[in-house]
Amino acid sequence: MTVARTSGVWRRWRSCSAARRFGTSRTWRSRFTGIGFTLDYDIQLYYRRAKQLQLNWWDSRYLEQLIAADVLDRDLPRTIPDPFTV
Amino acid sequence: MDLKFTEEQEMLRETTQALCRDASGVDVVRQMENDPIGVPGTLWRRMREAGLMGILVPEEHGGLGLDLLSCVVIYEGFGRALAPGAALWQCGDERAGDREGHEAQKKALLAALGGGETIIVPAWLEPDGGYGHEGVQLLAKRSGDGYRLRGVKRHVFHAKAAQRLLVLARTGEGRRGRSLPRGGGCQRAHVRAAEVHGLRHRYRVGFEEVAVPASARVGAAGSGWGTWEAAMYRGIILLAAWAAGGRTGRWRSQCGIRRTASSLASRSGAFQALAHYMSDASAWMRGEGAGL
Repeated sequence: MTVARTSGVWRRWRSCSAARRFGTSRTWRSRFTGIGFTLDYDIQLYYRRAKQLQLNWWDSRYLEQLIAADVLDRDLPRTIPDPFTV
Repeated sequence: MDLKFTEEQEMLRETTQALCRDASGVDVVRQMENDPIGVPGTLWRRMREAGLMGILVPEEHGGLGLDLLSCVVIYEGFGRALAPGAALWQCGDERAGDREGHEAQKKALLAALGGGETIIVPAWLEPDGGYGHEGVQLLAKRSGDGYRLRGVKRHVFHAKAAQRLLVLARTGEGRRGRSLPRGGGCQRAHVRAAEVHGLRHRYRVGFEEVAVPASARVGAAGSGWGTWEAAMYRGIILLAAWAAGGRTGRWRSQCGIRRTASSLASRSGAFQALAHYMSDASAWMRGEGAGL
């Protein structure tokens, strides 16, 4: 099984004993296969690109900050009732 | 409201898809994962020939001068094929150059970008810096007729393929962005590979008293962050289009595996659920979630 080396799964995999690795490998191969991050399939390419975009070009937290600032910091009248005063 | 794409936009979509089908197959994408340069020659050449390098560059500067929606169509096609290369980062540079560069600078910068002769990549993020202007701590000290840069940038994509870097720097009193030539006065910029997520073309760039002429600065002094932020607000629309294309590609790939892969003597799709938030989003948007 080929696992993306940057994933947490890879780190856990390395820390396992040989017997457990064999058992886990068989389980993954036969039942779960882990195709979202194994290098054997192409889907991991999409997963890693999605993660790359998320981490490098304004992540969710920063975008939420921008939206919150735009909605809450303006001096314009509210468009929805204030839940803390209703 | 007319939500249909125009004929021209449909043509752009077909052109992009055909181009990616021919020059950016999965084999090319996988090859570029381990390539320190990360820009496939054939795809880059075909993009230049099709004029796709200057889609945001105004016509008077030699580009196509397309509107944002047409660019979205093109970037969705690139995302679907996971097209490798530096085109993804060029959009921010084009906007920054178009918005703030003085006329001579604008002419040179945009013509080079639009023609695809020059690759300019942004060097923005810094270690532990965050995405806001506070994160820009690379210092630009005034020195004679120019500046001297000192600091570190990380997550610089395609730094080895680039002829120039668009570096965000701080002068102390304001926030600035400037275009910095690699080579010439830039011998002390150390480009070091920083493989994250398995990509070999992502770099950490260290600046040690790198001399930059004042004429290389993009826009007026102190206007750098405003320029960059404005470019980002437009750039993320194209990045979102790229991600939406990737989501479609992933969804197709996922369905293909479920149809073909077998395990325990039966098709894996018969008993196994697959999930990824982007594919789920795609299924939800198409209203096909129940059919998966």
